[in-house]
Amino acid sequence: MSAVVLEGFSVQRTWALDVVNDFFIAGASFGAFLCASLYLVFGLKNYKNIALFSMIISFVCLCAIPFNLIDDLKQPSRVFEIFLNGWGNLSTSAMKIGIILLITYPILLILLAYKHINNKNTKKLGIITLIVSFCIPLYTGYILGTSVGVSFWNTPVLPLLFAANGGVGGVGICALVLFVYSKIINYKINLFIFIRLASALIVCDLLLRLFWFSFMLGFNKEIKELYQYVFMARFYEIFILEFCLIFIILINLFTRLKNNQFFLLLAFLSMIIYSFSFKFNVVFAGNSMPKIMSGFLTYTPKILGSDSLGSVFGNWLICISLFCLLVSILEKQIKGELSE
Amino acid sequence: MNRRVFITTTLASSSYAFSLKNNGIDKKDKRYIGDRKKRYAMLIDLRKCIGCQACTAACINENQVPHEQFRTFVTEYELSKSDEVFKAFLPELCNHCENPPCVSVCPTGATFKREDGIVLVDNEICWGCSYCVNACPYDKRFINKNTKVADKCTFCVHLIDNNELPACVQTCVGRARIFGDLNDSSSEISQILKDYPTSVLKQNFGTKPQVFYINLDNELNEINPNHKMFQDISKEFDLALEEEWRIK
Repeated sequence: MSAVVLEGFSVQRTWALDVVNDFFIAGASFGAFLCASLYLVFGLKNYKNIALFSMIISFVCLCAIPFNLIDDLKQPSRVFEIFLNGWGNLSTSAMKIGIILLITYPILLILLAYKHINNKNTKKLGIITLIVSFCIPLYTGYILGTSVGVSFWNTPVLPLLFAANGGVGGVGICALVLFVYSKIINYKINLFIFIRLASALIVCDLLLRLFWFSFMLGFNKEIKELYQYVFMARFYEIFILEFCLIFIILINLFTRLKNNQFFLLLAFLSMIIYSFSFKFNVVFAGNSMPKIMSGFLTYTPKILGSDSLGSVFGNWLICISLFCLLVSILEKQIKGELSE
Repeated sequence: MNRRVFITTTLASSSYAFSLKNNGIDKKDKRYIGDRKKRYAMLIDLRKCIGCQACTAACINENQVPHEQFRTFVTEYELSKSDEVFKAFLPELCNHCENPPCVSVCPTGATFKREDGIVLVDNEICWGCSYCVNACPYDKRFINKNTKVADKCTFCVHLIDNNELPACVQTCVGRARIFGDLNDSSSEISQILKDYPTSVLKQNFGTKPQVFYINLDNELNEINPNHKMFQDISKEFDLALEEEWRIK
């Protein structure tokens, strides 16, 4: 049977670039702290000199998250409503849980950094901070995972996937910023450790994706068709781009090119793009799918205004300026640690 | 403000914030609670719908729905099976689900379900995050262009609370829409639901919609909106589409 819609109405899609950027930065915040926790919690000496620097990156990313969220709101002046109302939905609304995490995490991070700078024992506080940090990308995945209306998102594996994938982005940002910073202050730092960590996270990410897609293929015909569409429509982004980026990272891991500064830089950029691209694909593939009305949608980004390329760019500028501010305050401690 | 007042105020506001309460609903305001004895639902008899869009127009007029946005709409299909070509109409609106996914995800508690089953949005609390718009499996929520908050069909709650029928039901020329109380076994809707086989949209989501259809179990239910061959002529010429999102 064939069907033609003669008269229908336009469905509305509201989540776009701001949400993608928010999910990416949330994951990056976790990834950056993961680098620090390898020393602070697990005691790996290789990561000792980057612990404070990674915490700063994690803090900067975290501070940028609310700006994305507020920009995406259609009534941004009502932002305080989230503190005053809706606590009855605490257990079911991922956004509500996220608010608690976004308040708790920076406090823990500041306390941890203070203890670390003063050479105090950070293990217990580090474990608590790591758990809260891990929950940040989990809650972003949970936001999509609980959206019953979009079958592409409605999967319990998405929070874990966001954590693993976000970790790659966070490690990438940490490595890239440290790469640039080390050139400015003229220090030699072993950046290869970042590639090793990112590779481990990529393996977790790909395994989780394998579970996700293989489970989904067992579902009904309608969902299968959706997935086929996603793969066909986003073949370039999902397969070609993401796997090329993984290839670049692997080249750096297994060949002598790791000694080449250009390839190292390329690998760090690949990690960031890999993570951002995944979030972009998930959000946009889900949004482009029809729910009850017919037809797949395509997206054309806005240049300026709310939820536009300009707002994402502005958000990154906030990150950069906040990073510069923190580095200028903690310059002595950072340089002292990096030179160890 | 001295230190003691500051600390007392901060503690008091924090304890209020974490009191797990939803403003309005907990105030026991009738507008939030509704009529506890009733359970409202709508029945749409597809055999009687002629696709005149009188319900759409009545809804727009009654609720001042912005231009090119709809709380209810009658989708018109042209279906063909072997040599047979025929038209079908599907009136759609918020299903006021018994398990509404839009309510549980709302971070501000602006979306809530009254005890009479009507799902509403408090447009003074909603901050327009669109979480509910994404959570709704029926695509029946939108961000109102004028109020900039989530909007949807309310079953014309302001009329119901004054013992009137929703505007779409009042205006339906074929009497295809029937509205009433499911708790009242003598009501027209209860009688028809007892006598006729009915179905709901997307039953597999487990949301238990409270908008029932007679004669939905025909060719309309076989349509898969995800199918790439499904042609949507209306949208190809639809100027109402959002700037950012367009039909392929």
